[in-house]
Amino acid sequence: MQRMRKEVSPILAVVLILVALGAVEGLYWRGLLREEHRTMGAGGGPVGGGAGASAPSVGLPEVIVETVVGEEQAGYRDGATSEGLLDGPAAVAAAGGVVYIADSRNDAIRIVRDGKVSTLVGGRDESGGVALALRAPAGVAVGPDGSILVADTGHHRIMRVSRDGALFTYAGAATPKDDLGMEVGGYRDGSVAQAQFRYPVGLAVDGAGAVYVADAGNQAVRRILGGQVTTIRADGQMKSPTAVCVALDGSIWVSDTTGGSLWTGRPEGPLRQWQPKEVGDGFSPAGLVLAADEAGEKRVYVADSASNCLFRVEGDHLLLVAGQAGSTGAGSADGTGDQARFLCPAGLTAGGRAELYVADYGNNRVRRVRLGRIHLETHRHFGGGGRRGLPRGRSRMPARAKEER
Amino acid sequence: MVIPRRGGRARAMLAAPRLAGLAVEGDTAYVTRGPAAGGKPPALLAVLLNTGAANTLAALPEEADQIVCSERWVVWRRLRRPGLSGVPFVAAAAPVTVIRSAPAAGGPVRIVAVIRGETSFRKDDIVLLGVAGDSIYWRERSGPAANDRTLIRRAPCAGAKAETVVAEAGSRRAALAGDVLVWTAPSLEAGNPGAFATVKRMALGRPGVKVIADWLEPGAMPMLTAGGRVYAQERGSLWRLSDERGEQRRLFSGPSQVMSPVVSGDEGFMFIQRGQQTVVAKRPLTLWARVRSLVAW
Repeated sequence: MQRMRKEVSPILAVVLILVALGAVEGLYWRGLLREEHRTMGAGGGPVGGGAGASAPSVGLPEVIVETVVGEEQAGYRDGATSEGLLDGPAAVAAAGGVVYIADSRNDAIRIVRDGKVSTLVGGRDESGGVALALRAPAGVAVGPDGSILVADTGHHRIMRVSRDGALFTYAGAATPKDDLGMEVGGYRDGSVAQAQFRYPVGLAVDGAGAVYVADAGNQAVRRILGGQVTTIRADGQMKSPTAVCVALDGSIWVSDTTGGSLWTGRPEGPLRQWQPKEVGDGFSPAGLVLAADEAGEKRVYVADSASNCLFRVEGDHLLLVAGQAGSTGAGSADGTGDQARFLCPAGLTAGGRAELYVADYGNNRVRRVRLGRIHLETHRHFGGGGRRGLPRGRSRMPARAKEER
Repeated sequence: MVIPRRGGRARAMLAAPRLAGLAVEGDTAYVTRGPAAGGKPPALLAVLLNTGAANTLAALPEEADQIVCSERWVVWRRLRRPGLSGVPFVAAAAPVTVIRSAPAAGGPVRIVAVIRGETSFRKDDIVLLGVAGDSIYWRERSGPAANDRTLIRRAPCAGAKAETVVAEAGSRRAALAGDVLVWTAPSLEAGNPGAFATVKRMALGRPGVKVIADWLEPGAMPMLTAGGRVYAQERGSLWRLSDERGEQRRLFSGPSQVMSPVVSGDEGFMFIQRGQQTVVAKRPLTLWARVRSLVAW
């Protein structure tokens, strides 16, 4: 041993130590020695503040969130968007530079156009919801013919609104009434004149003109096509589907808010549960939309009404786009994705280029999210401040997600 | 249960399934009964305090959460939760508070108001304050934050459109005593508006709002009414507030007087539920009541 020790050159020893340190650092930056923060799923941190939650991660700094209309204080006021008030915006749709808002507690569809907010149809009254044109609408979409479709949730119908605000029933028949004179909803497939719904919420339209309805009260997703309403089979029991969107490949995605998961599958069914691994108790997906970022990458975006964050579906993971996961994530701040805060974001829609609109229900606002160029490699290696570039909310996407790109 | 005013053993007056929402006017107590055997729907009962005889005033779709009454009207409210729950942003499925009324002498049940609300983001927590004249007064809050408005509203018991009587930001308590309405508001004198409370008073049918108390603890101040007067609890003290001259008088205080809700007030006495909620204490409020207490002792 003594002979061996004498033969090892000190210079060689120093070189070997440096090489070893370099290897350790290399492994560290490849993410093999660190825990996940930003992505949620296998190897990722839980979204909510449930047991086992890691330190809350924050959204992407290149994403910009700004308020379009509304204030924290609920109200009902038309006018300039800087003055307009909403009360519980639950869904948004956008087309031709106009943003349509399902202003649920005002029982109205509001529109934002040319810097002004106005009422397209409905409005608040004191009847307690008995004699309203719309009752707490919670879904809005642009229909196959360009008309506006509304989930008239409290009346258990899907309505069509003409450009001048005239209201027509698109699907849904009368259902039994309770002692207050309010319909309680029902469940029946068939022609649009005979079918029944129960608290329909989210709406989506595909390229073939089919309209999908997240029928929350019936715990089902319904499809309206060719004048017929059918139920899409699911491989299990959803608890409260509240949003639906159509992906690039024609498959549909569904938010199951109280079930804490997403469902996906072909429109012919069956829908299968899609749940990122290690999801905390606080995952309550709400709004869903297919949108493109500045790089043209189209992905499904999810608003999580419990953790107050926006996510993007990446492979079998969720990438945190805006907000702060965890119990401290509620707020109303505008700013970059890592600064912005939401309170029960409920509805999502795609706006212009690389742009989302968010119905921020708890903040009584509609927010615009500019997605920027989301570059996963940047987030993997250089995603923020901290010691020696140790990223704040660094993302490590799994190999599979990288291959998909 | 009923306890004699002079004290004594409590005795059972009425036994029925799911009794809820008790109110007393004169010698009659009003209460709702839940669904009974044989498919009987819930009912509004009038119970004579002297004999315990119960008379069914009306069949109801549901039991009451709270009842208030006057000589002419019985009014109750019920928070109704629809089937879809756990989705805070579906306002259509949010609970609804229904206020109904019926003549105290019997007659048709009317819907006075249907109030939507109470989600994770709005705590409307409707509280019936009482009946004055032929109108029911209630309080509703428009949001959970401290600066959200509290509304005091009224509607004719016979059923008609409701109107707002008071709209006050940051108000937490309200009470109706006779024809005097009182409510709390953040103190304007205090540097931090949320730190202390003021109490405002308004005589119904007359213009003008008067501040009758200030610098009170905002959190620990249930407003109580008894015998046409308004009382406020603050820690271990009981204050009388509804004096016409704007006086606030500390009636009694001390650790032994930490109180649970007041049961009722009558003839110069206040009856207070105390301790493990098994003791009902009788407390004299007026000089004449004190004299009567001493004589009785």
